[in-house]
Amino acid sequence: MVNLTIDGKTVAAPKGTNVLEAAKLVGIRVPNFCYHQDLSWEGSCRMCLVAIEGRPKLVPSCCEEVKDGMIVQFERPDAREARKSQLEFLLVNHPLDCPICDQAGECKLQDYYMEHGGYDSKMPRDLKVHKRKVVDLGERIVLDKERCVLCSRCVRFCREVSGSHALQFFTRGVTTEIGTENNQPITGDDYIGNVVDICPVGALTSKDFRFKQRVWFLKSAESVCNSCSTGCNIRVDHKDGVTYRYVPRRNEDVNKSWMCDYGRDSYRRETEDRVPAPMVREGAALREATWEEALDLVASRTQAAGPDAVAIVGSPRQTNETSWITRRYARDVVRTPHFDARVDGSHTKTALLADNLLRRQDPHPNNAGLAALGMIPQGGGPDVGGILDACMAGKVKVLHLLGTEILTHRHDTARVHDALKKVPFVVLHAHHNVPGLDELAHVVFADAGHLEQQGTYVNALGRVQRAQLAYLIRTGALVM
Amino acid sequence: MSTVDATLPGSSIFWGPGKDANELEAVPTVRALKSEHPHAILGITDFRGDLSVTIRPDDLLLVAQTLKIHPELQYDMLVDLCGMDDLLLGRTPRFRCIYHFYSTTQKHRVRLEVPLDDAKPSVDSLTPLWKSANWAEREAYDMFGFDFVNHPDLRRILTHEEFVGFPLRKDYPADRRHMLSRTYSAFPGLPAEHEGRQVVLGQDGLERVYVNIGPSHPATHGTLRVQALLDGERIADSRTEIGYLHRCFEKMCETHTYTQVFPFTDRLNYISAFNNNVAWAMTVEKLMQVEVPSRAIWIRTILMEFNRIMDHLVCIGTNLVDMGALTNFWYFFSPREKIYELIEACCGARLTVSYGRVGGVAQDVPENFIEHARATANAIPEFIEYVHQLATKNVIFQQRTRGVGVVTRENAISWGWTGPVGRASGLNYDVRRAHPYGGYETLDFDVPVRTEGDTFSRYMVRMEEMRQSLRIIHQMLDRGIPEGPHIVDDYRVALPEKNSVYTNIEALMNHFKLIMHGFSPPVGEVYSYIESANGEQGFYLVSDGTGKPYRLHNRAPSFYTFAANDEMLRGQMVADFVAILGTLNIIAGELDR
Repeated sequence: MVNLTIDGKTVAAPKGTNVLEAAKLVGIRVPNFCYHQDLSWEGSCRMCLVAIEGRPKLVPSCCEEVKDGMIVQFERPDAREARKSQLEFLLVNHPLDCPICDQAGECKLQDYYMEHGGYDSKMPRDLKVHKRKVVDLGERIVLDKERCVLCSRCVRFCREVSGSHALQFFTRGVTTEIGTENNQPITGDDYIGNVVDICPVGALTSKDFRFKQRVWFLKSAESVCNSCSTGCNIRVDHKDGVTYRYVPRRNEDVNKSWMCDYGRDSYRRETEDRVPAPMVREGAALREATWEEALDLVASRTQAAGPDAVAIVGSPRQTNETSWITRRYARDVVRTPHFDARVDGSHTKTALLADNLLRRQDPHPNNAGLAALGMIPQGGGPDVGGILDACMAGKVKVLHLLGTEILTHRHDTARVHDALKKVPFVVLHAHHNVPGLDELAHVVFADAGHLEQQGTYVNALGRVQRAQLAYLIRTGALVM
Repeated sequence: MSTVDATLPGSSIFWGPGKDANELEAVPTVRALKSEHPHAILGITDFRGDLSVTIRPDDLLLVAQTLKIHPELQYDMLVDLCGMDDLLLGRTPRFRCIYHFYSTTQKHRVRLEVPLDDAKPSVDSLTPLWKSANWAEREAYDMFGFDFVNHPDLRRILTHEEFVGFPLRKDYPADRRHMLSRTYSAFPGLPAEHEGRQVVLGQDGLERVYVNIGPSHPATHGTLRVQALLDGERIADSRTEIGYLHRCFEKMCETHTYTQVFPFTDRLNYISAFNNNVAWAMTVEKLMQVEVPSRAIWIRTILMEFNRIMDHLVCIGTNLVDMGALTNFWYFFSPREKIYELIEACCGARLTVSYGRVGGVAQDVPENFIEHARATANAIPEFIEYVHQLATKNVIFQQRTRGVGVVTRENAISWGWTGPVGRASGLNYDVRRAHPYGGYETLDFDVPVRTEGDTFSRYMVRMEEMRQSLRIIHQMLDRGIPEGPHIVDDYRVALPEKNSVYTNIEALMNHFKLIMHGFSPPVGEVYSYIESANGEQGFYLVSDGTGKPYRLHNRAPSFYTFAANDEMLRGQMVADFVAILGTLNIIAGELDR
């Protein structure tokens, strides 16, 4: 550990820390644009200048490693003046876009002006240098070159993290700008959504989120992404039961500050095509029913069938809490030998990476949790394949599925359909409509969504992570 | 821990520098408390000149007694009492009860903070020592669920009888509602059948009648209810019930920025709305150490005095109407209309003005303000004279007001009376004189004080105050309007000029952040007060550093005035009640908040 003093306060920081991070430890928030915890040190924006005793000039604290006995002054008048002037320079050509800029409310320029600026501008508006404003960079990103403060975070991200080198600097001097070659759309980078998060101003904005909502109206919940077994930590921004975006939450051990674009998009699945209420089959179609009716029906049919004719299949998309109750139900209440949760073979790929960054080949969040809970057949009972065979053979009278992956994630869907058709009573927990639900299910339990319940998931590396409730259920669904 | 501020700017500032530990030792309150109750004290701070002592709840009664009777302290008035929920500040314990004391003789103040147990917040009631504690503790119970041991009548006061929960607690959602299924008697425990005009037999065999005076009543200006037990025309007993205009002002302010609070303050004492604006502005200015430019002070003081006159015009005018003297009402509402026109020329609104801002006023006064104001001020004395001729020596008026509703000086102080009603009972306390702000220390004016404490003297004090306010206005007008801005040139609190907002990014961002996020004040707590038309009106503000106030409590003079109502009415006749109520000038907006 290295001991230094910042503004009279003593700090002990690990060797290799920069002064900016050391200042955070004593509650001093040093302004910065180019510095990012998970990118290389740049020192180009000059906002983080501090005074260090013995140095002739002010020093950028983001590039300065701490040393024993260092005496740092953040609040010295010349340092304050330097920060103010640097902000003024950065704002010289900045367009008056606040009313239409998505970044408003989470914009560093705004925040730093109130905290470190406060000066009266002398820049005539007519002399501002103009650049292209709405550059379509593909499916996800819109670039506004005028708003860019040239911090190079996005350039370094594409170079160091995603490896796509998609964004670069072009030209020089006052016309320097960020962009792609010939302003071509960005393709082939599954992590490009992250540049919107790290852009400190409204230069890079998300096409998906653009103009949808002002950020100060949004409430946040801390959750975990459920579109693969990595379990990147996310922040869910929502308002009135509608989710507007997923934003990665920093976790040193799981996902640093990043998440992939598939995960980012997955918020839409939470509201699309939801099963609104429990459904019960009447003749050829499913109709809505009350929970009492649906539960009574399932209970009576399950009891009547007897333990050997009931099969229960867990789901790697359910939380640990729900899966635990499923296990209790299957083993202690129904006492069926037909119980497994390895629905689609994804459990064999849980630890395997799908790219060289974050995403894994297992598209479900909780296979590792199911393994830890022991959701496998006991005493020589059949696995899911065996259960399907038993269905084909007519041995299963009641099949209770805790999720719809058996219909959507297996390669042998024809076989699954045939097997389920042979079962006289199929109960499915479904979050949203999937193909096959209408023909095959006799009862559908309307499941609460990932954001509508609290729970834990175990990720591929065995880490138990908690997902917070974002908002209460607004349909007739229940947490099962 | 205290803050030592830099050099104290001019007389326009109403706060003082915080004292350091050495200076604190010399303060009489600190010395006395440290010597009498050393083990009761948990902490002493001085922030922005507000002395605050945190003491153990078990020792409250003894400490309070010392505060009251110690010869160097003599805190004869419990000015305010309110609750605090520190849940979101992460403090333990979660609750505090805040007391503000004032000594009318020594002219010093102290705040006591008493931390209360999370599970069962309970502390001794101060009703044995100060009568003003009665209703204030009921409100703290109503809003926070504090139990005040030995309180004579601890029940809800602002919310209704079927309300569940304690609304000012931080975990109470602001949109939860409770419906009231039926009316209740204001006498606790009285069966509902006695709502209307029920005749009951007293123990002496004589008939008595329960009658509701209000809440719908032409003479209770605002929705006020007094359920009276009548013995013929005499009020044998009564219970005053308030809360009909409770609009959870304090809870709403917790979800709005400091500037957004201004329209809410208009609706406190809505008869003289601008005074509430200034009281609130001064509170935030105290917290953020903002210096108001002299032009703004000049504007504020003149308009505050016009508002004071307006308030008294309504008070006396309606009081006389209630007693049957209708002409005076018209005589007073005519100059009031002229004052409205002056205010409208300044800000566009008449009643709910939202003209004050932190650091000054919302916009500058028009070019012809001095002429207009002088003409308005010159038009008023004539009407005061008319009413004086018609009413003051009128036999009927004298018989209805002299000796009616007498409140002694000691009683007034115990009830927390300030303002004209306090001065009519002989309490020579006017904030403008005792703790000047807004330039009052440079102005020549008298503070009328009378000793009879009856309805007549309350009327006389207000009449004279209007004449004195006119003196102040003329002095200020004669000095001429100071040059300079109408609001402080401080980007932390004042919106930049619209022209700049549209032409440079810094002003645009500044405007944006001030509107959407609000100010970024320091963390701290202050109590600031002015002499409003009804007396000491204060705001106790707790800031957590964000753009919205964490907690805001309004010390409403009408609340403390009206608390004495039941005691005052005992033995008076119903007609006397009408005469008394008028002079108390209970404004429901201020009373119920």
